[in-house]
Amino acid sequence: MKVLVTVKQVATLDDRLDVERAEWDLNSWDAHAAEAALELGDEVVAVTVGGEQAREALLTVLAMGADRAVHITHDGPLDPLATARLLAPVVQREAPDLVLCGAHSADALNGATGVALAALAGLPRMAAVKAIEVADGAATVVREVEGGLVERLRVKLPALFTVQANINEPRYATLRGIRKAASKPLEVIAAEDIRPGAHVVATTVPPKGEGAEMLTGSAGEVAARIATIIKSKVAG
Amino acid sequence: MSGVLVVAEARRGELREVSFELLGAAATLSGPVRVLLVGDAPADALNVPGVEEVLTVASPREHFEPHLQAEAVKQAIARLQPAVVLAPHSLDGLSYAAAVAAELDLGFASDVIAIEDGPAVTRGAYAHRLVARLEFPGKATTVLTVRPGAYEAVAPGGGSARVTPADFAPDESLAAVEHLGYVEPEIAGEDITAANLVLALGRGVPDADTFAELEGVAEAINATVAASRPLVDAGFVSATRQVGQSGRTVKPKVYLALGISGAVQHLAGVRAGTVIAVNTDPAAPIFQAADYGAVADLREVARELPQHFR
Amino acid sequence: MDFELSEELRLFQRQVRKWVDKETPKDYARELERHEHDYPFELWDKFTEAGYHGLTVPEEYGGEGGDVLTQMVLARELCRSLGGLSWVWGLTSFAGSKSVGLYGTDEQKERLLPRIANGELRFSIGFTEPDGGTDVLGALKTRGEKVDGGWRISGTKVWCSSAHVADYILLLARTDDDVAKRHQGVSLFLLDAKAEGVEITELRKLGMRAIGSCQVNLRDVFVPDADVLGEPGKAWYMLLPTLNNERMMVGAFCCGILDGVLEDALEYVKQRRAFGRAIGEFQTIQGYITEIALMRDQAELMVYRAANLLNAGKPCHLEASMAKVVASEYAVKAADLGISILGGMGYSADTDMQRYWRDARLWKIGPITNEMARNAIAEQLGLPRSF
Repeated sequence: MKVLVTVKQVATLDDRLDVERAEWDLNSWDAHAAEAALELGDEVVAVTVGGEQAREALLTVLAMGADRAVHITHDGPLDPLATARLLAPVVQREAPDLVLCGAHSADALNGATGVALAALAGLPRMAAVKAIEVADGAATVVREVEGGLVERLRVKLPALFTVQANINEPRYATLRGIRKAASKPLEVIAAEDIRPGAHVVATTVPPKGEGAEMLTGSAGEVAARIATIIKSKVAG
Repeated sequence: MSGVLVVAEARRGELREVSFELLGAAATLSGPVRVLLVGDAPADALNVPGVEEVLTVASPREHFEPHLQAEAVKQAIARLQPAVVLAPHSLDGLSYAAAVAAELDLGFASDVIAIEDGPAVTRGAYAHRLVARLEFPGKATTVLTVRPGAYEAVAPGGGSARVTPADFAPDESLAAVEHLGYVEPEIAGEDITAANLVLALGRGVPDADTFAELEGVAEAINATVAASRPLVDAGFVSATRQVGQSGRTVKPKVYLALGISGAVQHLAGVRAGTVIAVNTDPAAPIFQAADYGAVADLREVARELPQHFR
Repeated sequence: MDFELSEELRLFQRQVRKWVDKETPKDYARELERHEHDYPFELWDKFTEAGYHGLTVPEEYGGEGGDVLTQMVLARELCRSLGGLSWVWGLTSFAGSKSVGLYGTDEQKERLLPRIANGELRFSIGFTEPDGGTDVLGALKTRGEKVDGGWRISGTKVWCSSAHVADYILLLARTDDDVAKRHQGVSLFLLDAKAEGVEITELRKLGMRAIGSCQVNLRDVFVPDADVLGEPGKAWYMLLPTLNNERMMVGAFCCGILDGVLEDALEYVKQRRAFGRAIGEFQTIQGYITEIALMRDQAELMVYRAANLLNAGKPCHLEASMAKVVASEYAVKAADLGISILGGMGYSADTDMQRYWRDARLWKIGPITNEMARNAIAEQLGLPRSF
């Protein structure tokens, strides 16, 4: 079975809140998606949209065991629809049995790219699944909805699923895997036809004014104040 | 294009509270408010003051099916031509909202926390360390998924809208997801959603021994124990005690969060009167959401609590 | 001159960091270290699972085929959390895979390397004797006598870390007294730690706890010819490259200590408050933190330089010794500053700073004392031998 997995690098800001100094790493949800792909697929293709450092996301997934990768190059952030539009032609070209995406990215937390991609690539979809089993050309998936209610579903392949973090434990890439990754096919395509679904007008530091009233002092003093607050608000 | 189309959400025949939050959001925007309800649920409840029309769409399937849902929304957009479509940023919403926007080439933003006419929206950026303002130039219609809890829910009913069965319906042939069944969460112990005082424990709780100690503290102060996802995943507590987007929503008078960082998915389940947070990380996002906070070791603070409740 | 790690090394470093933060985080290390006399077999097994024992074993023998730089990256990343417990991996890495890999016969490599890579064999080192560490050749009383099919070894070795759980001890013994120079006539043996005549007692130490450093008494212990490493009598020439590798590995460990100290200190000073502010706002504290950062960056550059030379097969004795001296002195200074910064919490057994402080101290006196290393460096700079 051929599985395509979409991955991206996500940015973590430190206390300086400077985007230029962000630390980039493979999105943890995408690592889960890659693991699921490697467990289910005989052939795994990893695809990303991003700038130069997005290459590392692909190399990591190749090092985990994927067979091939495609890097659609584009610098700067993109909204989910624009990204999905760039991914869709590759998905259609590859015609996989299964497409897996992380449920969201840790930095943008859109939770939308995978489902938008499914729509554009003409694939049936379900978001946020926590288990996937494939048999006889269909996937049986489990999703957990609000309240802890668990739903079992079946979807015929080809299909796209976005996966939750509790679906599996992603494997670590070994040194051997990392070395092999460098010689696996990595196709680079320049992004064309960027059509955003939104325009970011401004990104600002959220107002800190309304934060918690901080309680100071020893643990005992803090506990005493907490007890007072609780007793004043909770009757009986 | 004008006005707002609210896509209501129901599960197993019951409307979910987010539907009423979306109605609250719609009320802040200009233009007529229309509501779309797919499937079987009490449509009259959605008839709140300010709503012009409630459209009910029969679904060929008993349970939520993302492709049928998307199709119904597309048909409603074609019919009603709204400027803004509001859907919940919920597990269901994740499966169809972006698809609608992609297929119709509309404006799109998810997990928005504030909306103005335009539309212009506010959402988090870089794991909510920053905040972004988005606009949608050139888009006649924009689909937005709204974060649960970002808006106050309005009370059901009391409006003077027309409640009409739609003359369009999604075709069954579009359905691709077959519902096999539900698995009920086991109810183990108290119902955290009914508690007045919740002691919520998070990743800062290092081990099972500490967890047991904190359970003792909860009992001593008459609090109900709840947890964030990491502790459920670690097996310390059953999923029925999980607070958050994929867990339960609690509405206690006081929510005492120990060792919880305040991830958005967790806070989505907290509608407390007062939130008190204890965490060793002064940069933990929970300190933005809490009313009171302390940068301290949760064990040390917890140990000192019971004596005040004897 | 590119001072960046290669893409491959960067990826590897990231993976190790993820592994360490998940599998062997600092509180796990702290807990293990508390049990001073319990060898952490579970930690050994984790290394096996991750393929770390086989890191520098060539792929043809079932290893990961990593080079010296990979070894340095792993050493540093492990030590940042594990401190002295990193030796649970490190000892076998250089006493086992490096020495057998460099000097083993084909038979020895085929017999031993795959089992090392699989985590099946644990190695210890037997060099230092009660009468001498620095002057090991002068103090060397352990003797190997040729017998039919092998050798009989008698003597006493001290500070053999992990000997009590080892399968093999890489042992240095004099096999020929009739030599012109002291460094001739010494041999290296792969001594079976469970053989008859081997008596092991554990020693108690300030730091490096739980790895179990031992005194090893050897009474007529038989070692077959097949377990002699390299040519009998010529061990001294083999030791040097191994020792260089050990020195830079220690340098890399010290970089890990420096990383851990800096990290913990930064986190602490941002949250600890005094006189109404976070203490990270005070100039003295900022000065200390800056000092640690300066030391860390210097140590890192020295270690990578030495490792690069060894990787390229170039002479690196001077650079390896320099890296070890610099990194260890800085690690000890940094950990000490760290305790000052953390105050009471730095003294507490519930934080890691005291562990870094105790563990780092060894590396000023071992694997060679910094004083002796300085003597060797002076000699390399052209000055007459001073010892």
